[in-house]
Amino acid sequence: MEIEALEIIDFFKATLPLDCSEPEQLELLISKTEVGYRRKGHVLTLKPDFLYLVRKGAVLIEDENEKLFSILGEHQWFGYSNQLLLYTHSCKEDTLYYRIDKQYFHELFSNNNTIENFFVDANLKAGIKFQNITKQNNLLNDSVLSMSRANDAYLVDQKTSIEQVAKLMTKKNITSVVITSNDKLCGIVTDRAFCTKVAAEKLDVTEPVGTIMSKKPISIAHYKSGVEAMLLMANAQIRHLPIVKNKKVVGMITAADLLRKQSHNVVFLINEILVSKDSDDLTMISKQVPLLLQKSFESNMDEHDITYSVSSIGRSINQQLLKQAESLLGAPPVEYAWVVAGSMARSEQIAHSDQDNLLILSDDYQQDLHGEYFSKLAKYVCDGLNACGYVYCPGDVMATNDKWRQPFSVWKSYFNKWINEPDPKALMYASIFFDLKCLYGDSTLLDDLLSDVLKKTVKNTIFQSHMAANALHYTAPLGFFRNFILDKNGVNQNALDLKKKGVVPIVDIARVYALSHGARSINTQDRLKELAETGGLSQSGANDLIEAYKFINLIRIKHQRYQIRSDNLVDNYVLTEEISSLDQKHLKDAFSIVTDMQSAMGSQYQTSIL
Amino acid sequence: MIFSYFFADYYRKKHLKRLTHSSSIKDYLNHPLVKSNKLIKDLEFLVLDFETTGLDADNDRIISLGYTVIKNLHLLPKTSTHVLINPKQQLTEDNVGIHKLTDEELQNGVSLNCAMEGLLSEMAGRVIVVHFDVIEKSFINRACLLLYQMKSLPMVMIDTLKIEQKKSQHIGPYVKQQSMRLYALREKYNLPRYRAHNAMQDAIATAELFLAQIDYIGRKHLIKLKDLI
Repeated sequence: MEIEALEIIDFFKATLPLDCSEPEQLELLISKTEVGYRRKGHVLTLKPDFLYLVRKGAVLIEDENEKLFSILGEHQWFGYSNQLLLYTHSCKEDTLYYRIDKQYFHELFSNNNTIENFFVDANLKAGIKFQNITKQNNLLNDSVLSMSRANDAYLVDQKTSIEQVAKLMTKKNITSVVITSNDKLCGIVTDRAFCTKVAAEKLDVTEPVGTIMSKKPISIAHYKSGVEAMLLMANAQIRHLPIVKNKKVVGMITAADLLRKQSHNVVFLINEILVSKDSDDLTMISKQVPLLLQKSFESNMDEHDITYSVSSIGRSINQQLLKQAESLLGAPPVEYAWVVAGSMARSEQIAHSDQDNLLILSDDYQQDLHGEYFSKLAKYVCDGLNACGYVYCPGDVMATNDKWRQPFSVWKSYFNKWINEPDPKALMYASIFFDLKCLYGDSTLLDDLLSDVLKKTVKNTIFQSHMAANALHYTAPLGFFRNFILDKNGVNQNALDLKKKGVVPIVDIARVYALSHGARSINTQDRLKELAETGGLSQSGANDLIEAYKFINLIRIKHQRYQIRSDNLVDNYVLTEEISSLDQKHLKDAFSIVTDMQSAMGSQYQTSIL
Repeated sequence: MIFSYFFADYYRKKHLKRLTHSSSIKDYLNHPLVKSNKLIKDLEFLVLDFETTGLDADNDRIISLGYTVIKNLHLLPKTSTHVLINPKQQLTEDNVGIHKLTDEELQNGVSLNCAMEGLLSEMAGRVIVVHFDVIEKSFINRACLLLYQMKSLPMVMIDTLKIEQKKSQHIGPYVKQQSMRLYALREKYNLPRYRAHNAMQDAIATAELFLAQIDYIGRKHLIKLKDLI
């Protein structure tokens, strides 16, 4: 063996903290070193007995929520702490790595403080580095100290009376105080203690506050992230954490602080929308929507909440455009309702989609007098929406189209025709015009129209059958995982259209049952829940559909998140290799639920006789 | 593949019978050849590199050899070995350029016999890995003829060049293309560039290339030896 001649020795010498080791120690270290290789995109299986070092390539570390933790390059270590072993280590590039017997390593350097401390600190540093990388992406990664509302914690000596503490909390509008004994943290009192201890046990309020405090409270170090605070709170089932720096309490972080950070983005965007002056402002703001989608996903928001927030931004943009149009054109000459159709009405948008909208005008409307106003209004709003990424509807279902900018009575006659003579074209419109929501103006115009429509759809079984038959048009790709039934048209030949094959069938089923049972909800999940309550659908059938719907949408959002992250255009075409085998199994289950419900609907509405 | 295994093993047993005195070659032949249906994760590999005075095994000489061991699909740096051989002949100008080995250094080298004894004990029971097997195969056989009067040494050898050719479907004339050179392939697999150029470092370089190749095949815990030969 001629170890001193090995290239690896030079590499070790240039690697922190090994630069401060003895040459003989390095030679001994090499006797316990192995070299391995993993190709790009593949996950490393870490063994707890080894310490790992990147020789060439890059290793990406993500936590259990697939959130980026760190990216390591040459000369950087991983696998040193057991906590990190739970994280996913994948190769961002082809990677050559060294692995070293961990126990041997620590024995070898047990007298070298520099080396031992390096790995104690490394854990913390990795966290800080990660904060810097993802700072713009996720506010919950900031340190707890920076996000606590009041940086000063309210410290109260344990001998202070309960009454005085209560007064202080009321005056300062705080929900908790830290209790100290000889300036040392010894307890915490939250507003809840006044309820459970003082009021319930009828304590004398002149007693010292120490009698009602929770002793030895859990605290958090000032550099820890909001995510860590959240986990700590969740695990301990508490809502307040004193922040500690150098053994001193320097602040308090509450569940409310964290919550504010989390919803900050949506709230912030909507505020921006509300103060915008023209459609150019709105265009700038709407560029942040894809980022919001990604952020929401990374903070592990429920997909229902994600689609809901994205939809509410879409609604706000639309409403703001109408306000801007009105201030430009003057007050409207007659009442109107600006109505959105399709996914925006159902609050089911993820990222941008087409705009579908229409105008219901009051029956006072006179074409010669008022026509110009509303055609200008419609143009301003539809152009604005297009600029914001809600592109023009390919089917021209927009208020700019004269056909869809009509008085109440005309709309009523449209629906009468569609319900009584459900020809293919009418049914095509059904998926758009039976999911309506008033965004702006006089909403009673739409409410009255819908009441009238639902009265008719509930009674008309022939219409129901046609709707049901139409809803069977898109079938779930059950053969998907064995021999992929993929979209044969278009470019994405190896991909599955999750929207058409998964989401649309469920949305259609919910609509058919809603129309035939007079359910007024518009959102698909709300429709299914309402139907389960009113007996339109069985409880288990509705639940299954909701779960299937959620899951398919989750995969869809995941897919779009990756596209946004890699700066690709967003679509609904998911490649099979993108989906993990576990997800594939679930997806298959979801699709079979859809198929079962479709066939149940087919026989219930006797679609076969059409 | 199966036939060649039987032939090789037949010759191994035949040679073994011939040898009476205990020796390193007898010891080597005592180890059965590795069967090709074994999973590579369970095998030990000896990755080998020779430096020679030329390409002609009959007239040129081995001047140094280096090797390292792969076990559990990981390279073990501590097993890396470099052996200089005294060729008992002058080095030519251009060889010195390539190998940076001087006559003086080689005078301190061991004899071919001694080097082969050490090599054989490392080869026993292991699968040999080389890049471009023509050199090592012919020089090992030549050495065995000189030292043990054997026409060829029964062994199981993997060629990383052939793995690459098989992968890129270049199964044609056995030409060492520029892109198939060890250092070009290492770059392709994002392996580090090494300054040193000697038999030991080249053996390590080949070993790392081999690890990269099998990782690229995928499901490396299911790969059998026969998949690589």
